[in-house]
Amino acid sequence: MELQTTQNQTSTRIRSVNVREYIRNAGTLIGLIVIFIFFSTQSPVFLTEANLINILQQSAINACIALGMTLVIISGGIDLSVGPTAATAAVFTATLMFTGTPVLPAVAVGFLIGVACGLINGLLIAKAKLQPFIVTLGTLSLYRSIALIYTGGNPILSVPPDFRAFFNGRMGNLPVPVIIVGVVAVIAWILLRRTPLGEYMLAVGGNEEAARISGVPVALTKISAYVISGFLASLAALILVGRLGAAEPILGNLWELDAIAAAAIGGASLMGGKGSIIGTLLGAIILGAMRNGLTLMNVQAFYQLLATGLIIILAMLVDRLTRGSN
Amino acid sequence: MLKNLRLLALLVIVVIGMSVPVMAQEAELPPLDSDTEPDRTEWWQLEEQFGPVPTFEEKVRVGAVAKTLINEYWRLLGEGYQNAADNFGVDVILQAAQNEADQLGQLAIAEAMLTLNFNILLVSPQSDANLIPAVDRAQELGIPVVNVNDAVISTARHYVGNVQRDNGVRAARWFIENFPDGGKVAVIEGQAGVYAAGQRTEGYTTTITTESDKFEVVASVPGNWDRQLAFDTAATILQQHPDLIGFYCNNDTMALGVVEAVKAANLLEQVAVIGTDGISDAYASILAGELRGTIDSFPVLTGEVALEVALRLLGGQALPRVVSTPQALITLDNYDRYYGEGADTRAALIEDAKMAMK
Amino acid sequence: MEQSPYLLELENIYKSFPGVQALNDVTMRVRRGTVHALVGENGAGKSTLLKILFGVYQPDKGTIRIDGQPIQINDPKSAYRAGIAMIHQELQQIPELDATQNIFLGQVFTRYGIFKDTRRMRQVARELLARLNVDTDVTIPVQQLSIAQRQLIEIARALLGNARIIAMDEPTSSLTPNEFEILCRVISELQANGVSIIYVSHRLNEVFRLADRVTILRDGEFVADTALTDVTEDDIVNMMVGRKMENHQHVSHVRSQTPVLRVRNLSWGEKVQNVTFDLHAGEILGIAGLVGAGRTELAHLIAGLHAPTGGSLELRGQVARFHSPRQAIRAGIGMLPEDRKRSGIIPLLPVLANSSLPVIRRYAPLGLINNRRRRRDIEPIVDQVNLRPRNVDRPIRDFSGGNQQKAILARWLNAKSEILIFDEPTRGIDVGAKQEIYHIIETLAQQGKAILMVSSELPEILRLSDRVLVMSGGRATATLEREQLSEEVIMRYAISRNVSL
Repeated sequence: MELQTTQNQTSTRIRSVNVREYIRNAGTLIGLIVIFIFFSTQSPVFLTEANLINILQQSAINACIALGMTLVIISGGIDLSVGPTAATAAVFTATLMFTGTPVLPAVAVGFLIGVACGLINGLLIAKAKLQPFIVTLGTLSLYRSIALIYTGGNPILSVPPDFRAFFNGRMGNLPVPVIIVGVVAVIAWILLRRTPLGEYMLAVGGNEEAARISGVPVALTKISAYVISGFLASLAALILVGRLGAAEPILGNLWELDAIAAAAIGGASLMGGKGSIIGTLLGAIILGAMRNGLTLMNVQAFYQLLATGLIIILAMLVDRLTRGSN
Repeated sequence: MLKNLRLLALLVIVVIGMSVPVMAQEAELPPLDSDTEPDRTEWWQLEEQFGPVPTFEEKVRVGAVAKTLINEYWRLLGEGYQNAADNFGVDVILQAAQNEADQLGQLAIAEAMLTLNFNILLVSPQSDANLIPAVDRAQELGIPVVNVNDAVISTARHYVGNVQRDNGVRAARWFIENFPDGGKVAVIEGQAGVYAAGQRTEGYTTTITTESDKFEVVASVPGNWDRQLAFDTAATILQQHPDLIGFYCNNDTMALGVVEAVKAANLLEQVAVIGTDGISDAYASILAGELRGTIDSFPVLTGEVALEVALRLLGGQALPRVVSTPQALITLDNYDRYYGEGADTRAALIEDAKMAMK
Repeated sequence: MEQSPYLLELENIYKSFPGVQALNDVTMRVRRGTVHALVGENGAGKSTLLKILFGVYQPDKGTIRIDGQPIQINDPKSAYRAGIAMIHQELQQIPELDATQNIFLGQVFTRYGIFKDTRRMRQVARELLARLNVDTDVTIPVQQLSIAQRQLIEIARALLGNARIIAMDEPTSSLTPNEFEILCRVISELQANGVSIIYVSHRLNEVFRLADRVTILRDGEFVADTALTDVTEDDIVNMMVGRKMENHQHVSHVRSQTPVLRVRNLSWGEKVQNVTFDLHAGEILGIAGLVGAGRTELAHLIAGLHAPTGGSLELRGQVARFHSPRQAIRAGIGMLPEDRKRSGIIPLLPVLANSSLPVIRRYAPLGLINNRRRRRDIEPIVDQVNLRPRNVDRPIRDFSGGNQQKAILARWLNAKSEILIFDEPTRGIDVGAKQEIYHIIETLAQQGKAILMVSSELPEILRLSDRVLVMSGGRATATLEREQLSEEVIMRYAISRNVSL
């Protein structure tokens, strides 16, 4: 009996939820380190400060989208409409600025559009009880068409210089977009791990019926996840517009897949109830580092695609193995 | 001490002297419209206007970012880079995005290439805007960038490519010439919002309705550069207008899809399809008597010209902002002149250009 | 060849998992044509042993013999080929497919090797079911059939594979007494045909009724293999838990004068019709009835899962209308659902989160959850319900069924719910934990909670209830006081269609 107790306690400690997440994140981090070591042996440029900042900069937009995606996936859904949401926010904001609206109100409108797109997704899914995949597949086309119709398909090529300067600026050595996404990640982590809403998301994604019986406001939780995803899509859009100095209605093509990939590499389960903010960030950086490193090695795009695919599947296999036969 | 001061002063003057014109130029540079930019020259005039291609003591390294290698056009362009690089004894490294929609991916590639210390960069952006940060960064680093074809970066200082509008104009004039009685025609456009697609379509539509009064453009719809979509769209148009006499397509991939739709409707005799680009499948179809013609923009030659322009810029030659590359509408009748056995494409094109000048 | 008296022998089986010795030198021998029960508390190693028999796990050490011949069982497929079949507690069927399709799942008859031979499969399916004395349409989706019928279809599937050994894991957990009788008949018929049954159940009365011998496991070790004629129920329980169980008597409670909850003519379509009763603080009201009598639906109405179509709820003298569980929770009602896995636990979340979910805002006055405060609240409560292991940071899915139930109970104790609804509180829970849960429920009643307990197990109802509401066909057929209670009386009202109060 005595022995039994001690055994239980050791196995218990290993199995604690947080510990598990740490182990999973450590796995992702090890993957990232292996990738970094590999590329640094292949290219002298890879580990230079300028290039590392490059990687962060390039990963920032995907990370921003992927953070929202992670919350949606954790609450048991999926958001395929992030790219078009971003495009719509981008073209409206850019047009407003182009026609003389001051930057701040124009940016506010961009955020409102992102929130509205997310709200529509959320209402259709949580209130009309439609399937998330189908709903956001529909709004993927819908939002894209709004951006295209509004602009007639033409890019808006003129953006105020101070708007651009802000997003292209640096604080210390870090580009502003990287800092913005870093702050977003911290907030997302706090939201997920330290607020009732975060716990509701984990609960709704983990077992919707049980969450409902436990008095969790299921619909509100889901809607919140989509609204956050929409908001972050519009934030990513503004970062991109700032970097490009232009807003295109075709912006954001296939963003959803990169974001899902980052979340999955980071340990999110499409079944819901599971996912990690830190993991998603690392996942986005892995994808960015792969693209960067393979380009430096002069590997052609087709092989880059191959490598990305293998990484995703490898991550899933590691997931499966570490979780055991359960 | 004094000497040092004088040296410093000299340095300051030199630096200012170098940067002032740059800054001035920057301020003056209007957004680029590659079709109408007045500061331009023709590809075949480079030699006579600026002399021979300069040579370099150190090995020159040229970086190139193409749209995607899925599309034959960009592979052929890369072939042209390589031909010219071999010819002039320089290195060229070509990278491309995964597909034509991967805008951020192409930006990441371009930014990574900037860290590799190329002497000059040739870029063919996915869209008008997606490579802007890389171009800005290159400018900070002092690496010249040449925008090669298709999408136009509005801040680009150097552009090599064909006049997109001219493409549509040539197709329209061919129809006017070959169908004296006129009739109904349709346009299958490329991706909405892409500069080349817009210009080509506009050139065609304007020309065919202003230079003749016998034609009616009954449909002008996007086929998104896609064969399947073009097939479906063309089939629909043919159902609605069985008396249609021709299609103009913004690229060959779509034109080949349209040809299949025309064949399926059994209207190959009546409906002429003209494509754009000059890819090998298009020629196979032309030689089989199905596709009537294509406006070839000679990607290999364009690549060669682009690399030549890059070397001239590196050698300090003050080239105009736009160097336009050739195109020609090629049908079964004039195929041999450009691609037949022993044909000299370059010579034929220069001859064309000189004819047009007169 | 020397004929072994045993059809199946599992000899000296060892199996360990990281940190746990799941089976330690376990031996079990099953004779031809007998029913051999396998009992033990949850975690005693029954499931592991069955999984080894079925090829899901490989033993670390030990031999398996069939007809005296050693045999290697690498996976469920080779078990199936060796004539071993398993009827799982949760039926392995595809609800949308019909009986024929489920019976032939993975082994379709074909014509010319290409086309499905549906006609022949249906015919064979009918023959198999006829052998089991079941009269079921083999062409309607199994989800429209009763659990018992579906179980028999599973047995038919075993017969199709010429199974000689059929292991049944808790086969009666959702059967009505009538359906249980059918199962008994089927089992004795199988026995007559030389099939051996391994019968795993927590219900010892069934074990005595059906089985010839019993093997008892405790903590992964073999305790005894004995003929059931040589032992009593108490003997077995003692062997299972390794200590003497005290004999339990009903504890009466002092109920409040005025009811906390008045239910008047409550209706929900056909499922619940005009149910009226009062619930007092400090009492346990049992809800008895057969499967489909509307008990669970009644519980759901009170817990706010459905809105009633008629009648009213009155809470402490106030009329209450709930449109969501959230509102019911605010009014002090908590429910432990019947299907713990499906609607009770949130598997990946730790007990701490599972037990504090309904009132989590309490711990986040400024938006951020104060985990220290939450722990301070939850820890005494998990002590009160005796959660084992006592680690609230561990995901709830890693706990045994009984401890999951305790964690969910902790959820409502922490929410300070005054009215607790238990729907089948001990389903699938082992004997030891069962007693604990009973004890907790009694203590809660003594502390003044009003408790509504739905149960299909009459001993449970008899042991705990102060009063019993019997339902049949959606109606309340009787409200019985403690003095009137007996299995016979309850059953009489459970099958009656007439209301008598």
